[in-house]
Amino acid sequence: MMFDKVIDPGTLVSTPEGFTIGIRIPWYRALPLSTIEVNLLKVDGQEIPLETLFFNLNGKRRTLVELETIVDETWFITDTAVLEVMGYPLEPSSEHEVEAVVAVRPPYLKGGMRRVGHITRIMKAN
Amino acid sequence: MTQADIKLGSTLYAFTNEFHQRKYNFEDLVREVAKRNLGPGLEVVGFQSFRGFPTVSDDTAARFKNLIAETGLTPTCLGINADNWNRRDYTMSHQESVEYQALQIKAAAKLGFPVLRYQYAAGPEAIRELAPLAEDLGVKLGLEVHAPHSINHPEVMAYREMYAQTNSPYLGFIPDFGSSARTIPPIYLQYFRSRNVPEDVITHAVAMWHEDSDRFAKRVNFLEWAKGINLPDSLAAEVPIIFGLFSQQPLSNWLEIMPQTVHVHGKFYGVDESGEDPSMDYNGIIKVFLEGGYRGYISSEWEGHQVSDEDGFEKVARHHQMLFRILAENR
Repeated sequence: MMFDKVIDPGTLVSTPEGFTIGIRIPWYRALPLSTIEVNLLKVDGQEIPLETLFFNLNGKRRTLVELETIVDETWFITDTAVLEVMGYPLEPSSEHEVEAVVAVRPPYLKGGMRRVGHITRIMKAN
Repeated sequence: MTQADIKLGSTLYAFTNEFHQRKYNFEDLVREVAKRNLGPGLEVVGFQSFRGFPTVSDDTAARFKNLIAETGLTPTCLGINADNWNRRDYTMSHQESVEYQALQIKAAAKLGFPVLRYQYAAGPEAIRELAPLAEDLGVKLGLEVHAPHSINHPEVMAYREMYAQTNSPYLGFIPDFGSSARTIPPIYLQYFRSRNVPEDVITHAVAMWHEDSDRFAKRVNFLEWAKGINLPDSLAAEVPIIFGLFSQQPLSNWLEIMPQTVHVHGKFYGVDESGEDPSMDYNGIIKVFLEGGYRGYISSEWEGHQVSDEDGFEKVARHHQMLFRILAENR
């Protein structure tokens, strides 16, 4: 099952500006970035404003809004994308409850039907 | 009537979890199929297995061909996609869709697949236009007849009529047995229960599924019903996928398109303790395909990975055992 694996275990990392966390695509194939949505990221019950996130994949750093128009580049099924959060410092080695919702819109389905991945994990910041 | 010759194989799609969870890389996944004797047929979904697809480099093609030589498997079918809605709020034009799929036909040829699976969203006119390319490259284009379509649905009939006009041996069909199911797989009901969908909701959804009514309307009808009983949206949203993955039609329907059947998706969700598939009647299915003189591969396609973390290799091994038994009983 892919829908409960959207957070990659062991990937919560404290940074000087905040933290990063790895996420996985909840689908069986590579999809264009235009079909990817990150709909929720919560740490210890607090929502991270989505407009402040950066999505790092394929060696590039983008905002979620920028993903919406990228059709020629895909998220491969075995790759971890790294969400970068600024202004939310985490103590190194501290434990946190992290919740994420990542949705995909399979591009061969008319009508924009979404498949939603959702998981909450207790994670230690590295 | 030709003498049937049914061969077995696997699609790597059955091992989606093993690949997604990075238990095997692509090459080791193929080796594992061979090691466990789950071939000889090997089906692959282009966008699942090949990074950068539909671009296939010379190096990628050479490595794949070496892997095939090493394992002794036979490439049967490459799954391609009609990603008409890859942009938000925009549908690909006819010409864009043709070009998008032409690239994938070329990829199939370069990788050495004799058949590809295309999706109905491609549209009959795009496929009509692509038939000469398929002929030039020696790749047969198979429309997957997938739930909730039946072979008589107007959207499938449009292809059948175009095929009759075109009369190309490179245009065919790929039956998917989710579209001739007899009930909802138990693994799905277990999943709903694990998500705390109430039992009476499950019962109602299964009853709706069995109703002889417009299967394309069942999703919306269910959601309206769920709203009426104030079922939370998050629970209601889990259920209607059963109306898209499974549908009913008489098994004898497959005979109508048998001469144009270029490959088969042996869709299944599990073989029970008695050695039978509760949701797809493989005893009946295999009899129909023997009667119809089908000569080709059936890819065992376990799709339970969408709702379960059970081992895909064990599932496919049990499916092969069941198919071998049924084939032997009908010899």
